[in-house]
Amino acid sequence: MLNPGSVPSTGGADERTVAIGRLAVAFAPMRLRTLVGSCVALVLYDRTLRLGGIAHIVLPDSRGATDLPAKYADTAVPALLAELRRQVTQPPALNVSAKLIGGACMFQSQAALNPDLGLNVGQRNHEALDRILADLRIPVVARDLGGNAGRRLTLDTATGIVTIKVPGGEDYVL
Amino acid sequence: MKRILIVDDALFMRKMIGGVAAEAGWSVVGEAEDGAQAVALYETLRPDLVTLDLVMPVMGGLDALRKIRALDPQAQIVVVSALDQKEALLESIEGGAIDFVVKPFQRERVLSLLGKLGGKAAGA
Amino acid sequence: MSLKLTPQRQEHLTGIFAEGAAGASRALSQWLGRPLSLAVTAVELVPLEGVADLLGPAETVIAACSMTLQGRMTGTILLIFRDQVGLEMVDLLIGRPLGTTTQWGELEQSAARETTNIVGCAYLSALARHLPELGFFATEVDASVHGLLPSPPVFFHDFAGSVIELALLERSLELDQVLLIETHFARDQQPVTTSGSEPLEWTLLFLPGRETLEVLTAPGESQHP
Repeated sequence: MLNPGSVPSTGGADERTVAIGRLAVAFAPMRLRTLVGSCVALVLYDRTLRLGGIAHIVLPDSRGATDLPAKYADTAVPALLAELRRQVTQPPALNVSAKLIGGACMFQSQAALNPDLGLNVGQRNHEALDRILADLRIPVVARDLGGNAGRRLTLDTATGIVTIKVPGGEDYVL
Repeated sequence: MKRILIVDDALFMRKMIGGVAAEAGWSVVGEAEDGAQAVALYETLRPDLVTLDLVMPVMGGLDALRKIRALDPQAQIVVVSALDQKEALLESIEGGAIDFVVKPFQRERVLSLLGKLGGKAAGA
Repeated sequence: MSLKLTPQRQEHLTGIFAEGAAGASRALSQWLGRPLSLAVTAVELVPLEGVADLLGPAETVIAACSMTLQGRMTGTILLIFRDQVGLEMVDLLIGRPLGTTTQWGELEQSAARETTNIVGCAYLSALARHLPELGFFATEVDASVHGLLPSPPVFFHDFAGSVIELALLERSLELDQVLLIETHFARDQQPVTTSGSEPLEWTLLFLPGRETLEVLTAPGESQHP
């Protein structure tokens, strides 16, 4: 029922929205956007190709689940890389850098009430992604993580710039 | 004037109950926003009456009820909670509460209860 | 994990949760001193990718409070109001002219949390009477209040999509589906303001946690031991 891989657009003609647990890739001038709370958005971007992608990651570890690769940090990174590579038909090879956004948590003060939850899932996602990206030698060039509010982010594939909006705040770029 | 301690995690509710208590002739000597604060304040203030919420962070009302009654077996405590369940009522009464008021409450109900418990009657 | 909800089970659950909603509605009407009625109840399984838009467009800024359930039934209750509606509720509670409150300060947030506490507890108390029918065996009910004990409400002022992630999903992120139990309240027929703003509208969501979801979607009509 649920397709792995990239998701049909729900945004305008030059903009696509990435749903929870999904990923999408696009060349310039398309924009990709998503909205994260406790989840972490992994943005990979190739400056030369002007090709970028976003995975909306929910949990750090797939524990063998394969139906929604973008949902888990360990499967999302290779899935997003594979989807980006699929867009490139000839050299140069893919050369991406990463940005990490999201991982908010409302429940720090209540962690004691809910030991099963562990510390917060956003932080565990972030740590898992750092480890996986380091293993793959993909540099993380920017992060905007933690806090207790959601973030809306838009990747401009023409420039690699990520614009972030928080509720009631001014836009800022990453 | 008799002294009352109001325990509720919501500032709004503390103000509301405080207003009714003052009208009933009580002096609000303290407010606590969780069970642990309530126990500590009870020990230092030794009020004549406590209104106690049940669902609160850090330490819930039922634990606070038992701890306060352990400190002072004569402690007079009225539970004021939205948790309108038989088990909550039973545990409160077993824990030593003298009454159980369900939120949202009728202002008159609390006014008359606090009056009966010694507000205006025994006040200044 | 892929769950299914049979039409019979859906209808049965809808009937029971409607009682919870009626309890919540009575409490809210009494709390606000105004009649509010129950408009709609939806009980449905929603795929994960659809949840960000459950509360309307994911980027709408909303006010909401969540309560987490521990005990026999687990999950999260969320009371949601559009920003303006929430601020008008605070005006109503404080007895100020509608439109006075423009920001969510400490007192305003606490009024929203207390409202959620009252509505959520009334909802639970009405449901508590039906736990065996819902599939939670009466024999598991020890004499403890902890059967349906909610956490204190947490206040959110955030994007609707983020509230879903932060409040509802944080406890059931491993699921690929959520069971949405949705209730709309509306003030009887008339808008609450004369200034042409929106009528007082509320949404109460209950999203069961994993184990509770499995019990609720079990095909049996009722499962007495």
